[in-house]
Amino acid sequence: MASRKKVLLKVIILGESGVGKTSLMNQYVNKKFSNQYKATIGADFLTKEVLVDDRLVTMQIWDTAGQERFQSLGVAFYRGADCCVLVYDVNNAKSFETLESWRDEFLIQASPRGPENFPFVVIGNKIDMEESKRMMWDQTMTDLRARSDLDIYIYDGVIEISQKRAMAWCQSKGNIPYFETSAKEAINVEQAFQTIAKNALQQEVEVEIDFPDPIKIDSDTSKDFGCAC
Amino acid sequence: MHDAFKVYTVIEKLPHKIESIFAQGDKLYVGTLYGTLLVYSVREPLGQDEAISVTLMETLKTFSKKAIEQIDIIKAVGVLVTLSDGYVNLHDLESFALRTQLGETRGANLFSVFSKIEIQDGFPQVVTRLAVAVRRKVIVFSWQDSEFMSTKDFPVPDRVRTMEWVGTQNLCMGFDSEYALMDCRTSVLKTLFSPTSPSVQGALGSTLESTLNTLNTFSSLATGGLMGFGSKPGKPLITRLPNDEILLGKENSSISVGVDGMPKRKKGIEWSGMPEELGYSSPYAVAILSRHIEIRNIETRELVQSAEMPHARLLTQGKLLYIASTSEVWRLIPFSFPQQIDELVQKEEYQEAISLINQINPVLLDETVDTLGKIKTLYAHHLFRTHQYEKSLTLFSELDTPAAEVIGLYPAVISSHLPPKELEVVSPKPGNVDLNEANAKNTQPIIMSTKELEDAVECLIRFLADKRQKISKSLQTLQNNHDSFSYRHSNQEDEAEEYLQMLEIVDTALLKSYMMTHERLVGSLLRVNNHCNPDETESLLLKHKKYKELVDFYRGKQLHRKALELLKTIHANPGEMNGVLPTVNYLQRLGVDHLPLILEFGTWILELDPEVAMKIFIDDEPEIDTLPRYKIMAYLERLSLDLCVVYLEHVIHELGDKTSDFHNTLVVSYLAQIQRDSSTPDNEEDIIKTKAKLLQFLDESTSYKAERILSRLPVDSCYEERAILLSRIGQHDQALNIYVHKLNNFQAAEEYCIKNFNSNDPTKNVYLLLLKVYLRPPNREKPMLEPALDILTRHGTHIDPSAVMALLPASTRIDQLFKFFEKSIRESNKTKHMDMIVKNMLKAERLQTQEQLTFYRSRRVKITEDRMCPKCNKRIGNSVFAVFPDGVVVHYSCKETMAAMGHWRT
Ligand SMILES: Nc1nc2c(ncn2[C@@H]2O[C@H](COP(=O)(O)OP(=O)(O)O)[C@@H](O)[C@H]2O)c(=O)[nH]1
Ligand SMILES: [Mg+2]
Repeated sequence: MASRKKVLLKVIILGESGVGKTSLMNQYVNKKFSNQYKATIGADFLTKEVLVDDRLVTMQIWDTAGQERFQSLGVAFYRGADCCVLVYDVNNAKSFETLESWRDEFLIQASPRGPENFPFVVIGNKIDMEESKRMMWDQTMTDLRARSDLDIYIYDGVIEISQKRAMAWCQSKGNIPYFETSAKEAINVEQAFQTIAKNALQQEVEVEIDFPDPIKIDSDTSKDFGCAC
Repeated sequence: MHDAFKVYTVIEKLPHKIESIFAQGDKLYVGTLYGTLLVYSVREPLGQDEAISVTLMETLKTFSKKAIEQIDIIKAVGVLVTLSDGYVNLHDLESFALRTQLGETRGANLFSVFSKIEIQDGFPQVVTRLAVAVRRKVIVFSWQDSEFMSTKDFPVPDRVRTMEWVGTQNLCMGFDSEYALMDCRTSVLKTLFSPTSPSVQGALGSTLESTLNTLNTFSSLATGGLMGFGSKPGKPLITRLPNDEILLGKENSSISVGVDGMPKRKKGIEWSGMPEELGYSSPYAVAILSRHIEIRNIETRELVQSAEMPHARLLTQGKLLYIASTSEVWRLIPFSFPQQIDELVQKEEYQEAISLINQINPVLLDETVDTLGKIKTLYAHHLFRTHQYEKSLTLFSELDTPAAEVIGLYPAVISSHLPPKELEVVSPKPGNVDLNEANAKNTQPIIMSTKELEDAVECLIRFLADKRQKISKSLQTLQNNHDSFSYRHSNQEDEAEEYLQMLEIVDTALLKSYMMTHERLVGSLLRVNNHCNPDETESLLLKHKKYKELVDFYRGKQLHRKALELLKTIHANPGEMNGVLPTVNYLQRLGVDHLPLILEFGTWILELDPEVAMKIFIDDEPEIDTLPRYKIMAYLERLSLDLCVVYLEHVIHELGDKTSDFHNTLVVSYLAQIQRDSSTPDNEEDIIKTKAKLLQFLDESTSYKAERILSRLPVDSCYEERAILLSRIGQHDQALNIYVHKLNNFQAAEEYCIKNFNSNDPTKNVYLLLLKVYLRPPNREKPMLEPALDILTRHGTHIDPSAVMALLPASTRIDQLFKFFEKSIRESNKTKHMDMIVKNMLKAERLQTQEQLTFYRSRRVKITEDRMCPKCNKRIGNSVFAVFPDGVVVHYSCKETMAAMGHWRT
């Protein structure tokens, strides 16, 4: 009886707190979204079975707290990761600026084999918000114009620049796949995770090792012989 | 392989044929083919070189009529148990007189004794079980302490070939074709597996299980084909191990099983042949093979020792290991464990040594030394020397071996930063082998090929990543505890310092490792919080021309000057660090705390590429907002007039700064620019541009100080500017003078008047002033009648005609003034009519007021001598009084009270 190889993909989601890491995971795994913000404590994971190239694999998605970098989670947590997802909020330029440090920290802490080819995926989340935010912006526009025209220009610029910059950055880091999503409206979430699974699987295949078969015992049935008398 | 046991010959060339042996304490019982029982006293040698002392104590020639097949003892009952002639007999242990023949055991072929102390009803009691296999049943006799309790029969499917108790409840049995575990409480028999491999067994016919499936009774089993062994079958062998574990023979291997019947270890022991007997002497399994015996470590399954023992066929179960052939008996005495461990270490068989330590009772070792840790460390070193880097580094990591020790195994490219090695003080070793000596081997450099080195470095990276985190955590814990243990303050500082040094060693090694195998991660390491040694890092990165990474490193370490100097040095090199932009980006993020640096290193970039470089002061970065504008202005003023202008324009126009100094300086700077450009040819365009900016600024800004600027204006130019400035300080006549006489721009003069006229401020009648400028020119020039008349025509209504008449030269033709007069008269008529309306309205108002006055006067009171105040009933007299509208008179001082009492208001 040959033991079938079971593929478990470990995926780690990193990014500033509040960018929507937990929401993305929940949307993908549970198809649910909540507007309430509940800070994640430590690290938590959900699993999902996915079909990648006709192969059924289990994806173990690890969500992290974000705030205090990784120190508390420990090297063991990052070891064995098959893909690292870096998330930022497209409406928050600062959350993009920190992507580089998240990547740096991950590479140093996890020290994956073949770090140059380790699969990352970048997600710019909350694209649904641009519209609503702009509308909100319109309201205060008059005030702002009175102060200076500059602010409005800058605001419009932030989103645009961060997207262009995100793509440029992804390219400069060896063509990291880039997705813009909304966990709230389930835009592009499925596609992003499909790519994550696919790239993670590639990584996994490269390090897959055969485990020796356990020793075999022929029979393990029990029989009640009853009483002879 | 090492020597675990020393083999002593106990009995040689015994004339009787040995059928059974049993040992307990210093006694050795030997049963023979003809029923003789021999009892020996065996004293273990005290020293290594001493011989074993053996004394024959008893020879019981007629102990039994037939061969003594098996011997055991039930100590609690004080009996010797033997199997002979198909019966189990109990003899007195002292006198060897027969106590009982267990009649029901007739036809017995095998028995097994097991004693254990169990707590029953709160008291410890020795529980003894004697299982006797009689054809197709097993009879179990039980004792509690010395008291016989019961017998119970258990049917079994076949003749039992061997059996062994596993605890007091479970009996493991070996049949020809199957092992089974029986729970004596429930009688449930659980079949395990066959001592022969399945393929062989398949050929032999139906298995026990399938037979059982078809038949509910055992009667037909005898014909079930179980007996049909053709080739040499696997003989069932059972050996009891500690912790209710049993070792079962299966052809050439032995598999260990727990009470639940499940395998307890991943792999079985593989013997070099098929064992004939199996035994156990902690922590080794012993097997008699056809020509020799083998001793194997039960955990590692490695062959530990083998010995030639021709014709050996019996071995004792239990603590004391005896092996016998038909006429010889040997005793195997283990060497002391420290001795065995030392031997293993010397032979570099670390895994064996570690396994041994793990299995034996720690009291058997010298507990003052962490022998296990030491040996594991030696093993890790050994693995490294034998190029098993992955295993080695994993073990080092597990052992938390100091990073320096591990890094020291690597060649200088990785380890050159280690501090000179101090002599390690090692505590005394457990046995004879000097662990130090073994250590010494490690200090010799290890020769590696490039590929090997890369593999080794790859493993090192993971070790170091673990390490840096462990140390960081310890450091953090230490710092968090800082307050609660403040009395240990200095101690803690030392400790923290130590951690920091370790971190430096680790991170620097990590840097070198990355540089060797993953250059691209160098940047990542240097950007995260790291403790790389600055000098090492510097020289390494410079050597590899990793300037960007070096700059990042300097930034992280706050070595800004170094970073900036480096950027300056390499700015001419091609590549991503070319030009002034890297410096600009660097300076932009420094902020006010590093202003001197910004100014110092701003200079060269501002000189080289002012347009880009100015971004250090005028970009949209939070840090730039913190910079003191005044200082920057002063700095730029010194550096370059044009840059100062650019900066001030940014500060004033973009940031809306109203500080007058900035505005003044901008004006002065514009002037200076104009002056500078005027002194050289071909700058017309620039001058025009600057002038336009200046004029617009003078016009729009309200924050500059005109007086100050006036004094700095050149006397013979900038008339327009002067005019604006003069107007700012209220010198309208002078301003108008400039428009008229210096600029000859009458239109501008008129516009000036329109802009500055204020009918409410007669002192500032700019039209009259302009008229004066035209008609009373300085230096006895000819009055300018034309423009004067134009002004009068257009704006004459704002000027007092009499003042105009006084100014006009006598020669003025009256018809030239027609328009003026017409307008003026109309205007004054208009004014007159207006005034009359106002007058009449005022008159009407006056009449109204007078009427009111009359009304109030008509209301009067008379204060006579005896007029009293109704409030206080005193005379009003000459006091101040008050009159209520209804004519009531009270003292003024009583007025409030009166009113409060409700007078009048009701
Ligand atoms: N509009 C919008 N809000 C989102 C989206 N994703 C997350 N949020 C909200 O952002 C907040 C933070 O989300 P959370 O998933 O907890 O972020 P985390 O800290 O990165 O795990 C929550 O209030 C979410 O409801 C999104 O795609 N669109
Ligand atoms: Mg979260």
